[in-house]
Amino acid sequence: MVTRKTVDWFDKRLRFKEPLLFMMERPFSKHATDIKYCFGGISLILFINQVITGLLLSIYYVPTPQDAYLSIQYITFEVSFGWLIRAMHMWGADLMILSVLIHLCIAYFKGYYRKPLELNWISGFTLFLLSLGFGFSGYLLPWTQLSYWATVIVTDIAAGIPYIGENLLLFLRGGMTVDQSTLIRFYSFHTKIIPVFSMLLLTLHLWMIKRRGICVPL
Amino acid sequence: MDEKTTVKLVRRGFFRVLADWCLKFILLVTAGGGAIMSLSFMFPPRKLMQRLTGWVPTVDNKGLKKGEVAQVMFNGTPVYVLKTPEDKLFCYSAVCPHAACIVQWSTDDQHFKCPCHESVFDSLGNPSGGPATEPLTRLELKTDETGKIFIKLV
Repeated sequence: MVTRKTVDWFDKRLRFKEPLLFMMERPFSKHATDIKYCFGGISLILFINQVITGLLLSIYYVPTPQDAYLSIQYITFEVSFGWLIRAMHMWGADLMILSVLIHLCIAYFKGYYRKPLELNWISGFTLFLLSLGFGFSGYLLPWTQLSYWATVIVTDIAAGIPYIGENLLLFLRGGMTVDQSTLIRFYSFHTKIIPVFSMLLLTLHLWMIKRRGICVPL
Repeated sequence: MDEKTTVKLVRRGFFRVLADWCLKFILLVTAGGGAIMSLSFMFPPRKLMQRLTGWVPTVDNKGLKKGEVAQVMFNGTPVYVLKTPEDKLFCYSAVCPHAACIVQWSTDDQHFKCPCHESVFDSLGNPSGGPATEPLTRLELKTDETGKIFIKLV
């Protein structure tokens, strides 16, 4: 067949078949259909949803105090399916935090931080913190009264940390007040810095499961 | 698949096959619908692509000084309303007929100048220097009783 020949032609040069089969051939544990063990996968699907809808929203979003709210209005009311993409991003964010939290609680109470899962636990917990970072930085971006004052309050809370608080406040706000420099900073955190780190950690998190195999419940 | 496997459809297997096809259908509709919606999201809304035509209001006659122009944007390109020192009104499209750059009005020597290839046009829109051979596109113009200047877009 033509397709088989084409696949073989590419495989001779790219050698993709072997690692692809390694990713696809996966022995399922008998617990795979148990809802308790599905929250990692649900979190991954929601994360992919956030990536796709987030990339789409970034086509129209403008991270300046003058245009941020207007561009959100434009996305919601003018662009075709803009309301849907924005709602999917917003609800997906809430659901991802929820699903990650459930995943974390199950891992904690089942003791999945013990040998040989220590690195999975550490990377997973860091991913949880990064998810909260996504939520915190994304909340400011619509530049509404609610998101503005929420950011003022939360950064003020960060300022209350002894010794490092004042520097942390400057790091988060990029100045003394929440203004243009905070908005562009949070936009960069939300769409560039945190995604890079979370995708690296997520690859590690999943790679370890593949290499070691899913552990039977301890 | 190298070897063909035939599965005999038994009565108890019917709903399993049906559920399998239903799942495939739902997946296909979701993927296809998502792709179509994402693609249509990336195009600007239709109403932004409509062109403005006919008589449109621009500036007030009183607010325009002699020997100066008012620049107004229509359909993404600027239009100049010029009042000559003899108190005559003209309206030109700012698009240079040579290579479609936007010409600028110079109050000092009362000429339109193109920044790209240094074409020069006089206050009547005729080329008086540079590579341009055609005059600037002239637009019809009228003033109503309140002194508002209207131009006709084509």
